[in-house]
Amino acid sequence: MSSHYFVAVAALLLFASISSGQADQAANAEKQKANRQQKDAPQKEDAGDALAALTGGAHIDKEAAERGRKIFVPSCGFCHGNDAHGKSGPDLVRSASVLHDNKGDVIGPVIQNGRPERGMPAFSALSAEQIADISVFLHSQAADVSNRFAYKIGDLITGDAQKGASFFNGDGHCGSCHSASGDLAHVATKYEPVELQRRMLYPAPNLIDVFLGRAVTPPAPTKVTVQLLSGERVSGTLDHLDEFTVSLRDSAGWHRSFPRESVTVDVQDPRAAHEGLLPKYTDQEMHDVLAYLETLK
Amino acid sequence: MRVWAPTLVLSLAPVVLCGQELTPEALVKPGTDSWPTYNGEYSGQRHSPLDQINGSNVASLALAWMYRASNYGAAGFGSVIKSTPIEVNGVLYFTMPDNVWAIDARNGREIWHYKYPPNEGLHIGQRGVAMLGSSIYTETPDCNLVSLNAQDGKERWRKQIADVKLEYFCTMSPLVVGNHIITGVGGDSLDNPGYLESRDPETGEVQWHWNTEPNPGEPGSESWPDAEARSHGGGMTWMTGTYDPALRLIYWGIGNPNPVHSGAGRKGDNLWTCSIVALRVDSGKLLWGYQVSPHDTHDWDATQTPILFDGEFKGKQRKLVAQASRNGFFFVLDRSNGEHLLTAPFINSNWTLGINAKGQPIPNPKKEPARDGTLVSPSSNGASNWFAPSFNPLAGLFYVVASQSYSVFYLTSEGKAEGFAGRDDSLNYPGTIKAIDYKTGEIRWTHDLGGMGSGLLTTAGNLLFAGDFSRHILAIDATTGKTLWHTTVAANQANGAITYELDGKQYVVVGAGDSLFAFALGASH
Repeated sequence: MSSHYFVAVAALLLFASISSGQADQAANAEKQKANRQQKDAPQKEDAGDALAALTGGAHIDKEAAERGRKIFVPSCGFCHGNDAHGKSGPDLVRSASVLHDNKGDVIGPVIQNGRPERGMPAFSALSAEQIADISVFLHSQAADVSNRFAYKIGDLITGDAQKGASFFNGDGHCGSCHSASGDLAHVATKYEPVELQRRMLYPAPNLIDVFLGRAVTPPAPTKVTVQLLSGERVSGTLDHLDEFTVSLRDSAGWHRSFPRESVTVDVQDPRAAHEGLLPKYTDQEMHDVLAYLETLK
Repeated sequence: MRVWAPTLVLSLAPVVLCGQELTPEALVKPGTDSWPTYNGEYSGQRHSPLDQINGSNVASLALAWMYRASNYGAAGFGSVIKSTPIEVNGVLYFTMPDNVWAIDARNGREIWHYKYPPNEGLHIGQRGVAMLGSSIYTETPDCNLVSLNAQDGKERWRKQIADVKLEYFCTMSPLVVGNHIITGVGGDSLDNPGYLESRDPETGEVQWHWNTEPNPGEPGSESWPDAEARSHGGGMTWMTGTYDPALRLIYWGIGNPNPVHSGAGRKGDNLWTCSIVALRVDSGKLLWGYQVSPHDTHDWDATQTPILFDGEFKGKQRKLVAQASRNGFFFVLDRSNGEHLLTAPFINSNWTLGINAKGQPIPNPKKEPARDGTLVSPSSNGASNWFAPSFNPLAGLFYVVASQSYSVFYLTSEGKAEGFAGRDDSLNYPGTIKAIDYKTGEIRWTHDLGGMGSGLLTTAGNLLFAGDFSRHILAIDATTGKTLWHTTVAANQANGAITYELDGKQYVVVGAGDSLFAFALGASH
């Protein structure tokens, strides 16, 4: 498939698929999208901003949040937890008062006067500026919770590399298309573990990355052969296939399309073998193969 | 005559006015000249008795008109019409986030356009308006219920139905029953409780409020470990429910529990998340509930339309409710009492240890999200999602847009799990229509769409209307699944098709991208 088509489909799929999800500030996301459309080659910073716009937290002043953390931890952390997720005192990350606060207008009086009836002392020494910074810190903690696309995935490599190699060369039949010393040489240096695991399972980019305009490795081209009623065979790279039409780029570089009803289509999709494995993998096998691929530095 | 004329006008005026208003009675038995609610009528079947367009002539279906909504500005992700239009007295009313339009259902000419001010709610989609009397009701991204005058689109009032600061957002088409405007809410990123409310059509004031998590001491409260978990348990209500006028019960599909991907802090079944519930429409009191995914950790909202129909089941005539749920299983219940009748898979999922005595899938704890990932089908997008299903009573088939998807589910939270607490990496995005025999759960046929993105409509012409992922609108033989007609439009269909008959002509209207397309038979018919 052409990368242009893939991006278009990715955008549509994304709209369709985050149906119950969060994300945030769609107006900002729209703005980011418009910005991206104005540039042929999106910059890396754009992707980061777009992610922030899509997932919330776009307006967090990071310096103020860090100042706020330094005030919060010694003053409030003992009861509310250093991360504000609650301890003997309430969780302040998903607190309605905090979420409604702007620069201390809601939480300021509580901090300065305390809540003696609930055992919270007054912190009258804290200035309005310090309380405003605490407010930013708490909002940043809430944004970290609500921004699921910014969650960090880690600690993936738990499998047995030797067993992974056996699966690769045995039941997985991976060796029939791939080779550790050929196309997969140094593969572990090219991708982060989460991306390597993804590509190992299904070699297509993450659609969130595509949507955000991040640099992604496009899926390998799919070869297709079309046989016409006359018996003539046309081979090339698949551009599009649906219920009614097949289209390809032939060896001379020309786009050609055919009605499905008058041709026979033979698609050699390199992802088919991966798709065939998805229902067969145990999670242990998945972990083992990743551990094996991680040895290919 | 000169004396006559004014008298005639005066005496007719109130009659004409009444004729344009939408009465509660008309919602119980809508005419084929209308599509007055999100699902066309209360059962949620999205099946029309119209048969002017049928297998013998659908090949000559042609574009009657199109309307491009060019005046919306920024309306959120992609500015796509996900809403199902309603059609009342020859006027179509439809939405995008922050926007409502009224257009002429005969020719697509704009009558009015309403623009809601910019706001911080999530603009992920807007699924349509509701109407009662001469008023339109719509939910905004920042969770106001807005009432408009149907004649000119002027705002009558707005009332907050959820707190956007807590990350609630609202997308649903309200359900109107009698003098109740029933509203649901969405937003599962900060562990808020879900609820349904009934609002007064004149004032917008709350008539009743029902929390999806039971109050302490109520049945189901024991399915949560403590008050903290229960009061932050999620269970959103973001899809329009259905209604049985004889039983006076509304049926609603309830969303996933929170924190979404971590179940450690909420051990138990977590009722009434991922459930189908029956509430008394006048009080909001729960009559029964049935949980389709106990203790969900995969974001599989059970918000898919619970479709109502009467039919024979194992030799007995029953009042039924059926749902093809996001978790990959099709359920049939007796809607009068919640008795379980059938559970059957409609994709090959891999997350269960089997089915328990109540017909519920038993989640496999090893398939819960993990630090190093678990490979699970379906993905968090689900085996189905919000795309409207349809039930065809003539064939006894339940049609659903289904996806044999896979994801790797990761647990990511450090310390206390809150919000999503994990992520899934969706691997593939297939989409098909599946025709399910409601009596057995057997899949009669499967039709590939290339992706999952829009809803379904069936008609007494034995046709099923759908959109594929290559910008085609399809008319499919509802019995065999074979395509009988297709056309290409500017974008993939993103809503569910509707149909109505005006002046003896049957129209089928779909939304694709930012445009509505109306189809009717060619001039030769």
